[in-house]
Amino acid sequence: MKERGLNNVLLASSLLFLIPLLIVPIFYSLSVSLQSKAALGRESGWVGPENYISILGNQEFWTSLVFGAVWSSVTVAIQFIVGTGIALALNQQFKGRAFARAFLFLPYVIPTTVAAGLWKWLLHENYGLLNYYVQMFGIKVSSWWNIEYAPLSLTLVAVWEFFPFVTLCVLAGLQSIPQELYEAAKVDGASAVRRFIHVTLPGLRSVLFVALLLRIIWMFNKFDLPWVLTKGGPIIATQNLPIFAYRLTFQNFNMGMGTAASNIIMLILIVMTLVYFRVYRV
Amino acid sequence: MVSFPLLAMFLGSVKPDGEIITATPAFFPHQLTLDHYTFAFRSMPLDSFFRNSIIVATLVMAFSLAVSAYAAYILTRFAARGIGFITKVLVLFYMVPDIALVIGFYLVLDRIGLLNSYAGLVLGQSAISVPFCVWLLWGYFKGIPIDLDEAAMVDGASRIQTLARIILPIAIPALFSTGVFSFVLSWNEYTLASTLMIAEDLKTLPVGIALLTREGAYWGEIIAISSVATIPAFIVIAFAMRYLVEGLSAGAVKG
Repeated sequence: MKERGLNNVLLASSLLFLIPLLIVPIFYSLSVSLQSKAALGRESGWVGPENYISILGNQEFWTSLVFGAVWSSVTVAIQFIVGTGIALALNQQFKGRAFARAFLFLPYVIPTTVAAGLWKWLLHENYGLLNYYVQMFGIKVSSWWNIEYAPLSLTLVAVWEFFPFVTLCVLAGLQSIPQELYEAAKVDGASAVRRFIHVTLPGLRSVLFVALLLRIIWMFNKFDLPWVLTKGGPIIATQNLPIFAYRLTFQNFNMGMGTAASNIIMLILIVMTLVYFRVYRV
Repeated sequence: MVSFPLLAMFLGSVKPDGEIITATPAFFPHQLTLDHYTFAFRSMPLDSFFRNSIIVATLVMAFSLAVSAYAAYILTRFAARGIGFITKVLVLFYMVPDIALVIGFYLVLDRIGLLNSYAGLVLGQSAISVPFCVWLLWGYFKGIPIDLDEAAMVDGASRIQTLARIILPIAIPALFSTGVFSFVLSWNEYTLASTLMIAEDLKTLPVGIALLTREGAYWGEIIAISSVATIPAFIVIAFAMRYLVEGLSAGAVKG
Protein backbone atom coordinates (compact mmCIF):
# COMPACT_ATOMS: atom_id res chain seq x y z
CA MET A 1 0.00 0.00 0.00
CA LYS A 2 2.75 2.40 1.00
CA GLU A 3 4.76 1.28 -2.03
CA ARG A 4 1.93 2.20 -4.35
CA GLY A 5 1.56 5.63 -2.76
CA LEU A 6 5.24 6.29 -3.36
CA ASN A 7 4.89 5.13 -6.95
CA ASN A 8 2.08 7.55 -7.57
CA VAL A 9 4.07 10.43 -6.10
CA LEU A 10 7.00 9.61 -8.37
CA LEU A 11 4.73 9.28 -11.38
CA ALA A 12 3.12 12.61 -10.67
CA SER A 13 6.51 14.25 -10.21
CA SER A 14 7.61 13.07 -13.64
CA LEU A 15 4.70 14.90 -15.23
CA LEU A 16 5.11 18.11 -13.21
CA PHE A 17 6.71 19.81 -16.20
CA LEU A 18 3.29 19.89 -17.87
CA ILE A 19 2.06 22.52 -15.40
CA PRO A 20 4.31 25.49 -16.21
CA LEU A 21 4.90 24.49 -19.82
CA LEU A 22 1.42 23.68 -21.02
CA ILE A 23 -1.37 23.73 -18.48
CA VAL A 24 -0.82 27.28 -17.18
CA PRO A 25 -0.63 28.98 -20.61
CA ILE A 26 -3.57 27.00 -21.99
CA PHE A 27 -5.85 27.60 -19.04
CA TYR A 28 -4.80 31.21 -18.68
CA SER A 29 -5.78 31.88 -22.27
CA LEU A 30 -9.05 30.05 -21.61
CA SER A 31 -9.79 32.36 -18.70
CA VAL A 32 -8.84 35.49 -20.66
CA SER A 33 -11.20 34.45 -23.46
CA LEU A 34 -14.06 34.43 -20.96
CA GLN A 35 -13.28 37.75 -19.31
CA SER A 36 -11.66 40.15 -21.67
CA LYS A 37 -13.52 42.52 -23.90
CA ALA A 38 -11.87 44.30 -26.78
CA ALA A 39 -9.73 46.42 -24.43
CA LEU A 40 -5.96 46.21 -24.54
CA GLY A 41 -5.36 42.86 -22.94
CA ARG A 42 -6.70 43.64 -19.49
CA GLU A 43 -9.57 41.69 -18.11
CA SER A 44 -12.86 43.52 -17.80
CA GLY A 45 -14.91 41.07 -15.79
CA TRP A 46 -16.63 37.91 -16.93
CA VAL A 47 -18.28 38.15 -20.29
CA GLY A 48 -19.13 34.47 -20.65
CA PRO A 49 -19.13 33.01 -24.15
CA GLU A 50 -19.49 36.44 -25.77
CA ASN A 51 -16.10 36.32 -27.51
CA TYR A 52 -16.83 32.86 -28.90
CA ILE A 53 -20.18 33.96 -30.22
CA SER A 54 -18.68 36.94 -32.01
CA ILE A 55 -15.95 34.73 -33.51
CA LEU A 56 -18.52 32.30 -34.88
CA GLY A 57 -20.49 35.23 -36.28
CA ASN A 58 -17.41 36.63 -37.99
CA GLN A 59 -17.28 36.03 -41.74
CA GLU A 60 -13.48 36.24 -41.69
CA PHE A 61 -13.35 33.28 -39.31
CA TRP A 62 -15.22 31.07 -41.77
CA THR A 63 -13.16 32.27 -44.73
CA SER A 64 -9.98 31.43 -42.83
CA LEU A 65 -11.34 28.06 -41.76
CA VAL A 66 -12.20 27.13 -45.34
CA PHE A 67 -8.90 28.36 -46.75
CA GLY A 68 -6.95 26.49 -44.05
CA ALA A 69 -8.89 23.27 -44.64
CA VAL A 70 -8.47 23.40 -48.41
CA TRP A 71 -4.83 24.49 -48.30
CA SER A 72 -3.83 21.82 -45.78
CA SER A 73 -5.66 19.07 -47.68
CA VAL A 74 -4.12 20.01 -51.01
CA THR A 75 -0.56 20.39 -49.66
CA VAL A 76 -0.81 17.15 -47.71
CA ALA A 77 -2.10 15.28 -50.76
CA ILE A 78 0.85 16.50 -52.84
CA GLN A 79 3.28 15.85 -49.98
CA PHE A 80 2.05 12.26 -50.01
CA ILE A 81 2.44 11.74 -53.73
CA VAL A 82 5.93 13.27 -53.76
CA GLY A 83 7.00 11.80 -50.43
CA THR A 84 5.87 8.24 -51.19
CA GLY A 85 7.34 8.33 -54.69
CA ILE A 86 10.71 9.44 -53.40
CA ALA A 87 10.64 6.88 -50.59
CA LEU A 88 10.05 4.06 -53.09
CA ALA A 89 12.92 5.35 -55.23
CA LEU A 90 15.19 5.61 -52.20
CA ASN A 91 14.34 2.08 -51.19
CA GLN A 92 16.09 0.76 -54.31
CA GLN A 93 19.77 -0.10 -54.19
CA PHE A 94 21.89 2.48 -55.95
CA LYS A 95 25.23 4.18 -55.57
CA GLY A 96 25.20 7.18 -53.25
CA ARG A 97 21.88 6.22 -51.68
CA ALA A 98 22.87 7.24 -48.16
CA PHE A 99 23.96 10.63 -49.46
CA ALA A 100 20.75 11.10 -51.44
CA ARG A 101 18.68 10.18 -48.38
CA ALA A 102 20.52 12.66 -46.21
CA PHE A 103 20.17 15.47 -48.71
CA LEU A 104 16.47 14.86 -49.31
CA PHE A 105 15.63 15.20 -45.62
CA LEU A 106 17.30 18.59 -45.32
CA PRO A 107 14.27 20.79 -46.16
CA TYR A 108 12.42 19.35 -43.17
CA VAL A 109 15.14 20.26 -40.66
CA ILE A 110 16.22 23.71 -41.82
CA PRO A 111 14.67 26.79 -40.17
CA THR A 112 11.30 27.66 -41.70
CA THR A 113 12.36 31.25 -42.21
CA VAL A 114 15.31 30.02 -44.27
CA ALA A 115 12.94 28.01 -46.47
CA ALA A 116 10.70 31.05 -46.81
CA GLY A 117 13.54 33.46 -47.62
CA LEU A 118 15.08 31.01 -50.05
CA TRP A 119 11.86 30.62 -52.05
CA LYS A 120 11.19 34.35 -52.00
CA TRP A 121 14.61 34.73 -53.60
CA LEU A 122 14.15 31.92 -56.13
CA LEU A 123 10.76 33.27 -57.19
CA HIS A 124 11.75 36.94 -57.13
CA GLU A 125 10.09 38.66 -60.09
CA ASN A 126 13.34 40.36 -61.20
CA TYR A 127 16.29 38.25 -60.04
CA GLY A 128 14.78 34.87 -59.15
CA LEU A 129 16.49 31.87 -60.72
CA LEU A 130 13.33 29.77 -60.76
CA ASN A 131 11.28 32.70 -62.03
CA TYR A 132 13.86 33.06 -64.81
CA TYR A 133 13.53 29.39 -65.80
CA VAL A 134 9.75 29.66 -65.83
CA GLN A 135 9.99 32.75 -68.03
CA MET A 136 12.00 30.75 -70.56
CA PHE A 137 8.85 28.69 -71.06
CA GLY A 138 7.05 31.89 -71.95
CA ILE A 139 5.22 32.23 -68.62
CA LYS A 140 5.50 35.76 -67.29
CA VAL A 141 4.22 36.36 -63.77
CA SER A 142 4.24 39.90 -62.35
CA SER A 143 4.53 38.58 -58.79
CA TRP A 144 4.35 35.06 -57.35
CA TRP A 145 2.75 36.52 -54.23
CA ASN A 146 -0.17 38.38 -55.78
CA ILE A 147 -3.76 37.37 -55.19
CA GLU A 148 -3.76 35.01 -58.14
CA TYR A 149 -0.53 33.10 -57.47
CA ALA A 150 0.04 33.38 -53.69
CA PRO A 151 -1.99 30.25 -52.79
CA LEU A 152 -0.10 28.25 -55.42
CA SER A 153 3.34 29.50 -54.29
CA LEU A 154 2.48 28.87 -50.67
CA THR A 155 1.46 25.31 -51.53
CA LEU A 156 4.66 24.71 -53.48
CA VAL A 157 6.89 25.85 -50.61
CA ALA A 158 4.93 23.83 -48.05
CA VAL A 159 5.21 20.67 -50.15
CA TRP A 160 8.94 21.21 -50.54
CA GLU A 161 9.54 21.77 -46.84
CA PHE A 162 7.36 18.98 -45.43
CA PHE A 163 7.32 16.04 -47.87
CA PRO A 164 10.43 14.53 -46.19
CA PHE A 165 8.32 13.61 -43.18
CA VAL A 166 6.19 11.40 -45.42
CA THR A 167 9.31 9.93 -47.01
CA LEU A 168 10.70 9.16 -43.57
CA CYS A 169 7.51 7.41 -42.45
CA VAL A 170 7.17 5.41 -45.67
CA LEU A 171 10.82 4.29 -45.52
CA ALA A 172 10.28 3.16 -41.94
CA GLY A 173 7.13 1.34 -43.03
CA LEU A 174 8.86 -0.35 -45.98
CA GLN A 175 11.46 -1.78 -43.61
CA SER A 176 8.73 -3.46 -41.61
CA ILE A 177 7.38 -5.40 -44.63
CA PRO A 178 8.93 -8.88 -44.57
CA GLN A 179 11.13 -9.57 -47.60
CA GLU A 180 9.64 -13.08 -47.91
CA LEU A 181 6.31 -11.60 -49.02
CA TYR A 182 8.00 -10.11 -52.07
CA GLU A 183 9.82 -13.33 -52.85
CA ALA A 184 6.63 -15.35 -52.51
CA ALA A 185 4.85 -12.94 -54.84
CA LYS A 186 7.70 -13.21 -57.33
CA VAL A 187 7.55 -17.00 -57.24
CA ASP A 188 3.84 -16.71 -57.98
CA GLY A 189 4.78 -14.67 -61.04
CA ALA A 190 3.40 -11.31 -59.86
CA SER A 191 4.63 -8.32 -61.85
CA ALA A 192 6.30 -5.34 -60.20
CA VAL A 193 3.08 -3.35 -60.39
CA ARG A 194 1.05 -6.17 -58.84
CA ARG A 195 3.64 -6.62 -56.11
CA PHE A 196 3.30 -2.92 -55.35
CA ILE A 197 -0.50 -3.09 -55.20
CA HIS A 198 -0.79 -6.34 -53.28
CA VAL A 199 2.28 -6.36 -51.03
CA THR A 200 3.67 -2.84 -50.63
CA LEU A 201 0.45 -0.84 -50.29
CA PRO A 202 -1.26 -3.12 -47.73
CA GLY A 203 2.00 -3.24 -45.77
CA LEU A 204 2.14 0.53 -45.69
CA ARG A 205 -1.51 1.11 -44.90
CA SER A 206 -1.22 1.84 -41.19
CA VAL A 207 1.93 3.94 -41.58
CA LEU A 208 0.34 6.00 -44.33
CA PHE A 209 -2.79 6.56 -42.32
CA VAL A 210 -0.98 7.74 -39.20
CA ALA A 211 1.33 9.97 -41.26
CA LEU A 212 -1.68 11.38 -43.10
CA LEU A 213 -3.47 12.34 -39.89
CA LEU A 214 -0.35 13.88 -38.37
CA ARG A 215 0.41 15.90 -41.48
CA ILE A 216 -3.17 17.16 -41.76
CA ILE A 217 -3.17 18.22 -38.10
CA TRP A 218 0.19 19.95 -38.48
CA MET A 219 -0.59 21.69 -41.75
CA PHE A 220 -3.98 22.83 -40.50
CA ASN A 221 -2.26 24.44 -37.50
CA LYS A 222 0.71 25.76 -39.48
CA PHE A 223 1.51 29.34 -38.60
CA ASP A 224 5.14 30.28 -39.24
CA LEU A 225 5.49 29.39 -42.92
CA PRO A 226 2.42 31.20 -44.29
CA TRP A 227 3.00 34.09 -41.87
CA VAL A 228 6.56 34.69 -43.02
CA LEU A 229 5.69 34.23 -46.70
CA THR A 230 2.41 36.11 -47.06
CA LYS A 231 1.15 37.29 -43.64
CA GLY A 232 -2.13 35.79 -44.81
CA GLY A 233 -2.33 38.21 -47.71
CA PRO A 234 -2.84 39.76 -50.13
CA ILE A 235 -5.73 41.03 -47.97
CA ILE A 236 -6.83 37.67 -46.53
CA ALA A 237 -6.36 35.46 -49.59
CA THR A 238 -3.98 33.04 -47.82
CA GLN A 239 -5.16 33.46 -44.24
CA ASN A 240 -5.68 30.26 -42.25
CA LEU A 241 -7.08 30.04 -38.72
CA PRO A 242 -3.78 30.44 -36.82
CA ILE A 243 -3.02 33.63 -38.77
CA PHE A 244 -6.56 34.86 -38.08
CA ALA A 245 -6.06 34.30 -34.35
CA TYR A 246 -2.58 35.84 -34.38
CA ARG A 247 -3.77 39.01 -36.12
CA LEU A 248 -6.66 39.42 -33.70
CA THR A 249 -4.29 39.09 -30.76
CA PHE A 250 -1.15 40.90 -31.83
CA GLN A 251 -2.33 43.34 -34.49
CA ASN A 252 -5.78 44.32 -33.21
CA PHE A 253 -4.74 43.69 -29.58
CA ASN A 254 -8.11 42.12 -29.02
CA MET A 255 -7.03 39.55 -26.44
CA GLY A 256 -10.55 38.28 -25.77
CA MET A 257 -11.31 37.47 -29.40
CA GLY A 258 -7.75 36.28 -30.06
CA THR A 259 -7.76 33.78 -27.21
CA ALA A 260 -11.25 32.64 -28.19
CA ALA A 261 -10.10 31.97 -31.75
CA SER A 262 -7.02 30.11 -30.54
CA ASN A 263 -9.15 28.01 -28.19
CA ILE A 264 -11.44 27.07 -31.06
CA ILE A 265 -8.31 25.89 -32.90
CA MET A 266 -7.40 23.84 -29.80
CA LEU A 267 -10.87 22.31 -29.79
CA ILE A 268 -10.54 21.31 -33.45
CA LEU A 269 -7.14 19.83 -32.59
CA ILE A 270 -8.59 17.80 -29.73
CA VAL A 271 -11.25 16.35 -32.02
CA MET A 272 -8.64 15.46 -34.64
CA THR A 273 -6.37 13.94 -31.97
CA LEU A 274 -9.22 11.76 -30.73
CA VAL A 275 -9.60 10.46 -34.29
CA TYR A 276 -5.84 9.81 -34.28
CA PHE A 277 -6.11 7.79 -31.06
CA ARG A 278 -8.96 5.79 -32.54
CA VAL A 279 -6.87 4.92 -35.58
CA TYR A 280 -3.53 4.42 -33.85
CA ARG A 281 -5.00 2.71 -30.77
CA VAL A 282 -2.29 3.94 -28.39
CA MET B 1 14.86 18.50 -58.33
CA VAL B 2 14.15 18.54 -54.62
CA SER B 3 17.65 19.60 -53.65
CA PHE B 4 17.82 22.27 -56.32
CA PRO B 5 16.73 25.19 -54.06
CA LEU B 6 19.29 24.40 -51.37
CA LEU B 7 22.09 23.91 -53.88
CA ALA B 8 21.11 27.18 -55.52
CA MET B 9 21.30 28.82 -52.11
CA PHE B 10 24.81 27.53 -51.31
CA LEU B 11 26.07 28.38 -54.80
CA GLY B 12 24.31 31.75 -54.77
CA SER B 13 25.90 32.75 -51.49
CA VAL B 14 29.36 32.75 -53.09
CA LYS B 15 28.35 34.67 -56.23
CA PRO B 16 29.29 38.33 -56.60
CA ASP B 17 26.39 40.80 -56.50
CA GLY B 18 26.49 41.26 -60.27
CA GLU B 19 25.46 37.61 -60.72
CA ILE B 20 22.67 37.79 -58.11
CA ILE B 21 21.04 41.12 -58.91
CA THR B 22 20.55 40.32 -62.58
CA ALA B 23 17.66 39.53 -64.87
CA THR B 24 19.54 36.51 -66.25
CA PRO B 25 20.73 34.55 -63.21
CA ALA B 26 22.63 31.28 -63.64
CA PHE B 27 22.75 28.21 -61.40
CA PHE B 28 26.54 27.98 -61.21
CA PRO B 29 28.65 30.98 -60.20
CA HIS B 30 31.21 32.27 -62.72
CA GLN B 31 33.25 33.99 -60.06
CA LEU B 32 33.63 32.94 -56.44
CA THR B 33 33.59 35.42 -53.59
CA LEU B 34 33.03 35.41 -49.86
CA ASP B 35 31.97 39.06 -49.87
CA HIS B 36 28.45 38.34 -48.68
CA TYR B 37 29.69 36.38 -45.69
CA THR B 38 32.20 39.02 -44.67
CA PHE B 39 29.77 41.89 -45.25
CA ALA B 40 26.98 40.14 -43.36
CA PHE B 41 29.16 39.37 -40.38
CA ARG B 42 30.86 42.74 -40.30
CA SER B 43 28.03 45.16 -40.97
CA MET B 44 24.83 43.55 -39.72
CA PRO B 45 23.62 42.95 -36.14
CA LEU B 46 24.36 39.28 -36.65
CA ASP B 47 26.41 38.69 -33.53
CA SER B 48 23.39 39.36 -31.34
CA PHE B 49 21.18 37.08 -33.51
CA PHE B 50 23.72 34.29 -33.22
CA ARG B 51 24.42 34.87 -29.54
CA ASN B 52 20.71 34.80 -28.64
CA SER B 53 20.07 31.71 -30.74
CA ILE B 54 22.98 29.83 -29.19
CA ILE B 55 22.08 30.83 -25.63
CA VAL B 56 18.39 29.97 -25.98
CA ALA B 57 18.94 26.71 -27.88
CA THR B 58 21.54 25.54 -25.34
CA LEU B 59 19.28 26.31 -22.40
CA VAL B 60 16.28 24.64 -24.07
CA MET B 61 18.41 21.56 -24.75
CA ALA B 62 19.73 21.36 -21.17
CA PHE B 63 16.32 21.91 -19.62
CA SER B 64 14.56 19.47 -21.98
CA LEU B 65 17.13 16.72 -21.44
CA ALA B 66 17.01 17.02 -17.65
CA VAL B 67 13.22 17.05 -17.46
CA SER B 68 12.58 14.44 -20.13
CA ALA B 69 15.24 11.99 -18.91
CA TYR B 70 13.68 12.03 -15.46
CA ALA B 71 10.13 11.79 -16.82
CA ALA B 72 10.92 9.02 -19.31
CA TYR B 73 12.80 7.00 -16.70
CA ILE B 74 10.01 7.21 -14.12
CA LEU B 75 7.37 6.47 -16.75
CA THR B 76 9.12 3.33 -17.99
CA ARG B 77 9.75 2.08 -14.45
CA PHE B 78 6.54 2.90 -12.60
CA ALA B 79 3.63 3.44 -14.92
CA ALA B 80 2.23 -0.02 -15.34
CA ARG B 81 -1.41 0.94 -15.03
CA GLY B 82 -2.63 4.16 -16.52
CA ILE B 83 0.16 4.17 -19.07
CA GLY B 84 -2.29 4.40 -21.96
CA PHE B 85 -3.84 7.51 -20.49
CA ILE B 86 -0.47 9.16 -19.84
CA THR B 87 0.62 8.41 -23.41
CA LYS B 88 -2.50 10.08 -24.72
CA VAL B 89 -1.96 13.16 -22.57
CA LEU B 90 1.62 13.46 -23.81
CA VAL B 91 0.64 13.02 -27.47
CA LEU B 92 -2.07 15.63 -27.07
CA PHE B 93 0.33 18.10 -25.49
CA TYR B 94 2.89 17.38 -28.19
CA MET B 95 0.29 18.41 -30.77
CA VAL B 96 -0.70 21.72 -29.15
CA PRO B 97 -0.53 24.26 -31.99
CA ASP B 98 2.12 26.98 -31.96
CA ILE B 99 -0.61 29.60 -32.09
CA ALA B 100 -2.14 28.43 -28.78
CA LEU B 101 1.31 28.36 -27.17
CA VAL B 102 2.34 31.77 -28.40
CA ILE B 103 -0.86 33.48 -27.26
CA GLY B 104 -0.89 31.66 -23.91
CA PHE B 105 2.77 32.33 -23.17
CA TYR B 106 2.53 35.95 -24.27
CA LEU B 107 -0.30 36.58 -21.81
CA VAL B 108 1.31 34.67 -18.94
CA LEU B 109 4.79 36.14 -19.44
CA ASP B 110 3.33 39.62 -19.78
CA ARG B 111 1.56 39.11 -16.47
CA ILE B 112 4.67 37.98 -14.61
CA GLY B 113 7.03 40.40 -16.37
CA LEU B 114 9.06 37.84 -18.31
CA LEU B 115 8.50 39.09 -21.84
CA ASN B 116 11.84 39.95 -23.45
CA SER B 117 13.75 37.53 -21.23
CA TYR B 118 15.73 34.40 -22.04
CA ALA B 119 13.86 32.55 -19.29
CA GLY B 120 10.50 33.30 -20.91
CA LEU B 121 11.48 32.11 -24.37
CA VAL B 122 13.26 29.03 -23.01
CA LEU B 123 10.09 28.10 -21.13
CA GLY B 124 7.97 28.63 -24.23
CA GLN B 125 10.17 26.61 -26.56
CA SER B 126 10.51 23.87 -23.97
CA ALA B 127 6.77 23.38 -24.20
CA ILE B 128 7.42 22.15 -27.75
CA SER B 129 10.67 20.37 -27.04
CA VAL B 130 10.00 18.47 -23.79
CA PRO B 131 7.05 16.30 -24.94
CA PHE B 132 9.01 15.32 -28.06
CA CYS B 133 12.10 14.45 -26.00
CA VAL B 134 10.05 12.41 -23.53
CA TRP B 135 8.65 10.43 -26.44
CA LEU B 136 12.11 9.76 -27.92
CA LEU B 137 13.74 8.78 -24.61
CA TRP B 138 10.78 6.71 -23.50
CA GLY B 139 11.27 4.41 -26.47
CA TYR B 140 14.93 4.02 -25.56
CA PHE B 141 14.55 3.53 -21.80
CA LYS B 142 11.92 0.85 -22.40
CA GLY B 143 14.68 -1.21 -24.00
CA ILE B 144 16.94 -1.06 -20.92
CA PRO B 145 16.18 -4.13 -18.77
CA ILE B 146 14.75 -3.44 -15.32
CA ASP B 147 17.13 -6.12 -13.94
CA LEU B 148 19.87 -3.51 -14.14
CA ASP B 149 17.95 -1.15 -11.85
CA GLU B 150 17.17 -3.90 -9.43
CA ALA B 151 20.76 -5.06 -9.24
CA ALA B 152 21.86 -1.51 -8.46
CA MET B 153 19.20 -1.08 -5.82
CA VAL B 154 20.08 -4.35 -4.15
CA ASP B 155 23.56 -2.87 -3.83
CA GLY B 156 21.98 0.01 -1.92
CA ALA B 157 21.71 2.67 -4.60
CA SER B 158 18.73 5.03 -4.47
CA ARG B 159 16.45 5.65 -7.46
CA ILE B 160 18.20 8.86 -8.38
CA GLN B 161 21.63 7.25 -8.02
CA THR B 162 20.49 4.37 -10.22
CA LEU B 163 19.32 6.80 -12.86
CA ALA B 164 22.50 8.88 -12.70
CA ARG B 165 25.09 6.10 -12.47
CA ILE B 166 23.55 3.15 -14.34
CA ILE B 167 20.86 4.27 -16.75
CA LEU B 168 22.13 7.60 -18.07
CA PRO B 169 25.61 6.30 -18.98
CA ILE B 170 24.02 3.50 -21.01
CA ALA B 171 21.69 6.00 -22.67
CA ILE B 172 24.38 8.43 -23.82
CA PRO B 173 23.78 7.84 -27.56
CA ALA B 174 20.04 8.40 -27.11
CA LEU B 175 20.63 11.46 -24.95
CA PHE B 176 22.98 12.86 -27.58
CA SER B 177 20.45 12.43 -30.41
CA THR B 178 17.63 13.79 -28.28
CA GLY B 179 19.78 16.75 -27.32
CA VAL B 180 20.56 17.49 -30.96
CA PHE B 181 16.85 17.40 -31.81
CA SER B 182 15.86 19.77 -29.03
CA PHE B 183 18.72 22.14 -29.84
CA VAL B 184 17.63 22.32 -33.47
CA LEU B 185 13.94 22.66 -32.56
CA SER B 186 14.84 25.79 -30.65
CA TRP B 187 17.41 27.00 -33.19
CA ASN B 188 14.79 26.83 -35.98
CA GLU B 189 11.84 28.13 -33.98
CA TYR B 190 10.25 31.35 -35.23
CA THR B 191 6.74 31.89 -33.85
CA LEU B 192 7.54 32.16 -30.14
CA ALA B 193 10.92 33.80 -30.68
CA SER B 194 9.45 36.58 -32.83
CA THR B 195 6.60 37.31 -30.42
CA LEU B 196 8.07 36.84 -26.94
CA MET B 197 11.33 38.68 -27.74
CA ILE B 198 10.41 42.09 -29.10
CA ALA B 199 13.52 44.01 -28.09
CA GLU B 200 15.93 44.50 -31.00
CA ASP B 201 18.95 43.03 -29.20
CA LEU B 202 17.05 39.89 -28.13
CA LYS B 203 16.01 38.64 -31.57
CA THR B 204 17.17 35.19 -32.63
CA LEU B 205 18.60 34.14 -35.98
CA PRO B 206 15.36 32.92 -37.68
CA VAL B 207 13.67 36.18 -36.68
CA GLY B 208 16.58 38.16 -38.10
CA ILE B 209 16.40 36.23 -41.37
CA ALA B 210 12.66 36.87 -41.65
CA LEU B 211 13.21 40.60 -41.13
CA LEU B 212 15.93 40.78 -43.77
CA THR B 213 13.77 38.80 -46.20
CA ARG B 214 10.90 41.21 -45.69
CA GLU B 215 13.18 44.13 -46.57
CA GLY B 216 14.23 42.10 -49.58
CA ALA B 217 17.32 44.12 -50.44
CA TYR B 218 20.46 42.23 -49.41
CA TRP B 219 19.77 38.90 -51.16
CA GLY B 220 23.40 37.85 -51.23
CA GLU B 221 23.70 38.39 -47.49
CA ILE B 222 20.35 36.75 -46.80
CA ILE B 223 21.34 33.50 -48.49
CA ALA B 224 24.82 33.63 -46.93
CA ILE B 225 23.32 33.90 -43.43
CA SER B 226 20.72 31.26 -44.34
CA SER B 227 23.49 28.90 -45.39
CA VAL B 228 25.13 29.31 -42.00
CA ALA B 229 21.77 28.91 -40.24
CA THR B 230 21.33 25.46 -41.83
CA ILE B 231 24.51 24.04 -40.27
CA PRO B 232 22.65 22.52 -37.29
CA ALA B 233 20.31 20.83 -39.78
CA PHE B 234 23.31 19.02 -41.25
CA ILE B 235 24.26 17.87 -37.76
CA VAL B 236 20.77 16.42 -37.27
CA ILE B 237 20.98 14.57 -40.57
CA ALA B 238 24.47 13.29 -39.87
CA PHE B 239 24.08 12.14 -36.27
CA ALA B 240 20.49 11.97 -35.13
CA MET B 241 18.25 11.08 -38.08
CA ARG B 242 18.89 7.35 -37.91
CA TYR B 243 17.66 7.38 -34.33
CA LEU B 244 14.39 9.01 -35.36
CA VAL B 245 13.92 6.49 -38.19
CA GLU B 246 14.41 3.63 -35.73
CA GLY B 247 11.85 5.18 -33.40
CA LEU B 248 9.38 5.48 -36.26
CA SER B 249 10.03 1.89 -37.37
CA ALA B 250 9.28 0.67 -33.87
CA GLY B 251 6.10 2.75 -33.88
CA ALA B 252 5.16 1.46 -37.30
CA VAL B 253 5.46 -2.12 -36.18
CA LYS B 254 3.31 -1.35 -33.20
CA GLY B 255 0.55 0.41 -35.12
